[in-house]
Amino acid sequence: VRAKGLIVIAAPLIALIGVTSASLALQYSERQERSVARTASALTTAAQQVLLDALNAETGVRGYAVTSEPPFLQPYDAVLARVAGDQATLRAAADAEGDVGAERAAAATMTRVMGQLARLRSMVGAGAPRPALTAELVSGKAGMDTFRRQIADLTKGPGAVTAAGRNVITRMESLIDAVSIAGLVLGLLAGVMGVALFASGVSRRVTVAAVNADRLGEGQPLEPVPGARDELGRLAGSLVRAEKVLAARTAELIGARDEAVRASHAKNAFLSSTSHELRTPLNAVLGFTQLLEMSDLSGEDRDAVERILAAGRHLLTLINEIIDIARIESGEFSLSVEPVAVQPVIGESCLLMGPLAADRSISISQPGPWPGLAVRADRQRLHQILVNLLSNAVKYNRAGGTVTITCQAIGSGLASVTVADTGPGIPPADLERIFDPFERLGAEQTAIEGTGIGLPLARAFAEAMEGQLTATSDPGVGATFTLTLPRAPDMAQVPEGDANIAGVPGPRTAPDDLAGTGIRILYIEDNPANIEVVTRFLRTRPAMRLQSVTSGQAGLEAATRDIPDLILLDLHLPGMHGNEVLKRLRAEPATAGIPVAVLSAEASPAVIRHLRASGVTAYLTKPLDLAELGQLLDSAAAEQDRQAGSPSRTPPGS
Amino acid sequence: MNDSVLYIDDGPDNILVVQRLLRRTRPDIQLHTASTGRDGIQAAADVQPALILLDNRLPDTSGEQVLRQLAANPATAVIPVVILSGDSGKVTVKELLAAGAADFLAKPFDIHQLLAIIDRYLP
Repeated sequence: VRAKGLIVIAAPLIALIGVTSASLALQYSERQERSVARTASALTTAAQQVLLDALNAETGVRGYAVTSEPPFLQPYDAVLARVAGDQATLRAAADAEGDVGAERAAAATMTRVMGQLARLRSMVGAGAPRPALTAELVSGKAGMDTFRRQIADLTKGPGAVTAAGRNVITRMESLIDAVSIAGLVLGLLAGVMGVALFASGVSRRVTVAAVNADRLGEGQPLEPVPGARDELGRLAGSLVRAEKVLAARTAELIGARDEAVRASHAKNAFLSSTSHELRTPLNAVLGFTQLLEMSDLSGEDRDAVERILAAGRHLLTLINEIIDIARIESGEFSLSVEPVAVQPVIGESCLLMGPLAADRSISISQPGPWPGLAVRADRQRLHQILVNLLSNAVKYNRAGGTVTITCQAIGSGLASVTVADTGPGIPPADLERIFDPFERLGAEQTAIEGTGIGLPLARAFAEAMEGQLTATSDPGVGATFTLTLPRAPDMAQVPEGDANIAGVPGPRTAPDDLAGTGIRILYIEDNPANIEVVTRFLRTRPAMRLQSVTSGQAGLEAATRDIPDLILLDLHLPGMHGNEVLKRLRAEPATAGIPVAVLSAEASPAVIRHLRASGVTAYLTKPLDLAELGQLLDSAAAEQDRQAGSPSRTPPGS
Repeated sequence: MNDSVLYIDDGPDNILVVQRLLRRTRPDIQLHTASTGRDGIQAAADVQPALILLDNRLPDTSGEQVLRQLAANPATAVIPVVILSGDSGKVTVKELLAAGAADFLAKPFDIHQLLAIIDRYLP
């Protein structure tokens, strides 16, 4: 670029310099010519001055000779006074001109003329006779003629020189003008062309550099750039180097990532195998100890066996919790978050804690209102958190105390569950420490069993489900733990086992009809709107009988009792998830062969794969496509026709 | 249906515990055992047990593979399979249930829970 820039600047500059130097040279020549002309002109002037001097002197002396009047001699005397100076001027001019010979001759003649004039004057002064004076005058005239001719000769050369010089100077001046104009035009043209050339070249290369910079940003291979040593060349080179550095860094990062992934997999594999390796011996310890426990044992032996069992179970809990914590920390922990109704989970947890609470005469009071409150959570982990909170509330309570559970919505986005005890409480300074792993605040000195991981794990679960677990305490009065989770839309809660026959008029939907002929369909669905849709649709197929139930448990009972030809199953059911219903249907030999079609909004590929693997006949997404539903029902009917006359399914219990 | 249970596990201690447990509490049940997936699949076809207890980790294959092979064979597809495993990771449980497992019991299992499951499948 620098070179090009120089060229761009230099092209007009060279043109200008060329023109200027040509112009200067011409002007120099002109000056020479002028000087020559000037010298020639000086010679001419000097010669004419000397001639004038001679003429003046002769005229004066001639006048004096005719009149003998002395005043006529004035010009002669004046000439005498200056003739030497004028002759010196002429000599100098002639020397400068190099016209020395002619000048010497003219000077000699001048001297002779002046001598004659001096002689003539003295003859007049002496009163010489007229004829002598006339003869002298004639002779003087001849001398003057010679002198005039010689001066003419002397001035002829310089005159020609002066004229010729003037011509040359005029021509040179025109030439200089022409060269100057040409130079200006040329310089302008060269400048414009240079800039255009430069700009197009630079712009093309800048474009390539910009494209390459973009490609570098996008991680694509760069366009090839011809090597160049100017700034743009260096820029292009820098981009190429940057690409190489970037590629090297990317390779390093990929390496590091692969290494991290390998390490993570190794860690996960380690955890998984640790989990297995630790459980295998525990399995034997607990298994044989349980067998021992069944035997007839003496009091001390029984006590020993019970202690082994308790310690073994404690160890097992510890292992499970440590592995859970490690999984959460390594990011390998997976949750299945879905809308979960809170109260059933609270109920299950209370049930589990019942015996322990009863041992210590502690009463557990469950929340009253808000039966449909639901949160987005992993049901199993929510259960684990609540069991942990409840077990703490029972263990760290005073004998005969109470545990109070409440649940409520916080605004529209969150819901909370609180577990409050009436124990000694926790000092404010320790309220956060209790969430640190293995921090039992001295409880290890007491008889209270615990691993010290329960609360940290519960908090980790809560946070993994985008919730919070916090504690407040009034020392001496009790402690309150608050679990906050994202709220889900309220879920209708239907007592389990309550079969709900779709309330659509018409004899064919009456429950008794299920036992009759034709296609019998069992729809396990808790949403009345969906039941209504399917019920109305089935009016177009009068041979089909529909029974609907609103819970999984009721569905299982109905399926086992009636052995329908097709089961339509919703996945989000209160109490028991559709997957569990499916599993139990499959596990029960009586119902294992009934085709099951799942109707659900959970249409992720993983869910569908899972269901297919579980032997589901069809999967229909909600909102229901009625044409699809029709096809499904018709093919089930066709299958039923094909099997008509084949032995009926084995009734349960046989 | 007969009164036999097939237990597929490579741990001798585990098998011994179940053997003694059943001998002591359910003497009518005949327990068959296998220590590899291959043997277990063969035994399932031969014995036609009322219930299969399957360890998730086997020397030659995974419990999930055994499940799929049992399901693929019409002779064994209807036999309920309960997974007994030391790894109670939720994903694994889901996968196994998806693969057709009837139930899941984490090891070390409580012998009363194991008896409850056996009672559920054996009349």
